[in-house]
Amino acid sequence: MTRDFTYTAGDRTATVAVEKQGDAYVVTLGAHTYRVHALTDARSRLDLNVDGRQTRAYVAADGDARYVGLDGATWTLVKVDPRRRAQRGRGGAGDSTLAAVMPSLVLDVLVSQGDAVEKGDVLVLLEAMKMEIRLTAPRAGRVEAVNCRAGEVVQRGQMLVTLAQPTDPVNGQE
Amino acid sequence: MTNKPLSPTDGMPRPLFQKILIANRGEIAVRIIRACQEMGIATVAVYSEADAEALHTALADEAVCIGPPPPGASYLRGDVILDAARRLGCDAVHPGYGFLAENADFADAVAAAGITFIGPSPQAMRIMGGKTSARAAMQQAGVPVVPGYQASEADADLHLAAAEIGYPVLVKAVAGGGGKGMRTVFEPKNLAAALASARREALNAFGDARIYLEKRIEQPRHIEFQILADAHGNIVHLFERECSVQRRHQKIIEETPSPFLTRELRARMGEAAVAAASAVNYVNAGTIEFLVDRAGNFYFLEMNTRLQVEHPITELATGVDLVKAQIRVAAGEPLPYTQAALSQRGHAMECRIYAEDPSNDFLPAIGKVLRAAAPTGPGVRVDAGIAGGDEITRHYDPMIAKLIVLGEDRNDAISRMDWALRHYVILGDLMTNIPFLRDIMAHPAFAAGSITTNFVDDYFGDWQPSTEEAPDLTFIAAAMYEILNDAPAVTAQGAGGASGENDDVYSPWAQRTGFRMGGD
Repeated sequence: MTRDFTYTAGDRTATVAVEKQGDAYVVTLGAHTYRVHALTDARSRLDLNVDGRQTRAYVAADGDARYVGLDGATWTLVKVDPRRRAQRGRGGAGDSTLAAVMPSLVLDVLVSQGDAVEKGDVLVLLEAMKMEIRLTAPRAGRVEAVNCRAGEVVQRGQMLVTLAQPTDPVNGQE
Repeated sequence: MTNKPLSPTDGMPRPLFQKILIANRGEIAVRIIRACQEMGIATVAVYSEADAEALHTALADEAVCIGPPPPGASYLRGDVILDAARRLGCDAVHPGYGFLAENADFADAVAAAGITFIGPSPQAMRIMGGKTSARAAMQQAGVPVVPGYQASEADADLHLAAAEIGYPVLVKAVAGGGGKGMRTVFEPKNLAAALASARREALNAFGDARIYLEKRIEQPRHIEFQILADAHGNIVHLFERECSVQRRHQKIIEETPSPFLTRELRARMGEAAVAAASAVNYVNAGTIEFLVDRAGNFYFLEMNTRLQVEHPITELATGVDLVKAQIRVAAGEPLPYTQAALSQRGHAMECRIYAEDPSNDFLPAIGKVLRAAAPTGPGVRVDAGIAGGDEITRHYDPMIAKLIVLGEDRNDAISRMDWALRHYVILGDLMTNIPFLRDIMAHPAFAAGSITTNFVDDYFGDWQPSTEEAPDLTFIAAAMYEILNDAPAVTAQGAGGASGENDDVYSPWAQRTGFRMGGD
C-alpha cells in the first residue's frame, strides 16, 4: 500500500509517496525514488538512511505545520490536503497594511486617518519587552485607516494602519 | 531513646547555607540551582503564573508562586519574594542577573530580615548603579572614564554640553543598561527629539527618566573584566571577556581571551578593574566593563554588580566556578586563590541563542518550543532555561539558551561552536538566531578577530536567511515522521476533520512511548 503526503515549504510543494518493501521504505518524490530505512525515538528524532547515506532529522508537528530540523537548518512545512489546495491563495495586502509583528503595547499613534505620510515616517510606537518598536511607513501615501489606540495591547498579525492604494494605476494588475 | 540512624552526610562538612532562595527564572535560575545541589544546599524557586511549568520551577526542591506574569507583579516583587524566603526558612537569597540583582533596596531588605544577600553591599550597588556616581568614583580612583556631561538635566545645558563634547554624542539613561534609553545623536538638530525619546524609554524601563551625555568612541571594542572579592580585603580579576559582537546594544557572542589584548594591555586593564572594585569596597563577583578604542585606550563604561550572563566563558577558561565562589564569599570564606595562581587556558566562546528575527531588526519572536535537542560532547556546555513545550512569551527576555564551547585556541573554538550550532535543534513556531550565528562563525572578519561593537551593523546589517529551496530530505523526513507515528495519511482521513488548528500541541510526540523500528 502506498501512502501519499503533500507538503508546502516556501515556494515548493511536493507529494511524497511512501511504500513499504520488506524492511525498507521506497519513497518517491517527483522523478526521484529513494530507498529509506528509518528509526525513531517515537518523539521527534528520526535516524534516516537514504540510499546508504545516514542523516539524523528532527520533526515536530503542530496542527498542519511540520517543523523539520536537518543538519543545522530548520524548515517549516505545511501539510496540505490536496482537496483543499485550490482554496489556498496568497492573501497578502502588499505594503499597504502595517501589522504588529509581535504581541505588544501601543505606546503612541502618531498619525490619523487622511494624513499624508512620507516613506520612513514613524506611524505607531509599540513596546514589547521594554523595547520601543517603531512602525514606519514602507512608502509615501495617505493613511486610509488607523486600527489601534495608545494603551491597547495588540496581537501578532493585527493590522494597525492601512495606507491608501497608490493612485498610480501602472502596477494595478492583481 | 532511639539511636540516631547513620546519615550518609555524617562526617561531611556542614553546607555553607541550609537553603537558598533563587530570586530569578530561566537559565540562570537553573544554573544556580545546579551549583546549590552540588554544594548540598537546598533550593527554593520562585515563579510567576507564566512559569508554573518552567524548568527552574521543576528543578528546585521547593517552588513558590509569586504572582502574575508581568515582572512588576512577580519577579520584581521584592516584598513577596522576601516573604517567601522567610516563610520557608531560607538563610540566603541569590538574585541571579536582571530583575532584583542590582536593586540595593532589596539587598537592604534581605539583610534586615537576617538573610544573606549573595552579592555586594547595598552601598557598593548604589554607587555603581548610578552611572553618574560610578563615573565620579572611578575618576577619583584614577580609572579612565569616557568624556561626558552629567551636571544638568536641562535641555539648554545639554545642548551646550553636546557641542562641547563634540558630535556624535550618546544620550544614555542614568539608571540604564542593555542599551535601553540610549540614543546616538549625529547632529544638533536631532538632540531634542533623542532626549525626549530616551527619557520616555528610560522612565518606562527603569522608572527613572534621568539621562546624561557621553562622547561616542568610534569603532570601540567592548571588553570587560570579571572580578571576585572576598570580605577579607582580597580582590582578584579573572581576566577579560571580549563582548564586542552586539545587536541592539546587547551582546550576542562573547569570548575569552580577547583577540585584541596584548599581555601588557591585559595586565593594565586587570589592574584598573581591581582598582575600580576596590574603590567601592566591593565584595562578591562583579564585572567592570570597558570601551577600548583602536589605539588601545580604555575607558570605564560601567560596573555590573552581579553575575553576568556570559560568566560561563570565564568559568571554562579559568576553571573557577563563579556561582560557587559567590556562595562561598557570601558565607564569609576567603578566596582560595591569589592573582598569581589564576591563568587562562584555551579559548572559550559563548553564543546566546535567542528567539528573534535577525532579518527584521532582531525583533523578538514569540512562540512555543515544541522540541529542543541541545548538542553535547567534548568542550560543549549548554545553559538552557527551557525544555520542549515551553513558551517564549512577551513578558520576559527571549533568550532560549547559552551555548558555550572551550577550544584549544580561537580557531578550534570557532569550528567547535559551528558544530554545536549545527547540532542545536529548536523546533516550533518561532524563529531563532542560529542561522545568523552560524553565518558569523563563517565570516572572514570574525575569523580575523576584527570585531568592534559595529561588527553586526558593518557586516550583517542587511542579513537575510538563506532562501534555498527545501531539499528532498526535508519532505522525506516529514513523511517518515507521519509513517512512524502512525498518523493517518491524508487519503485515509475525512475531509472535514483537518481544521489546521490543533490546541493539543504536545500530542504528536509527548504521549507516545517506546521505540519503534521502521522495519517492524
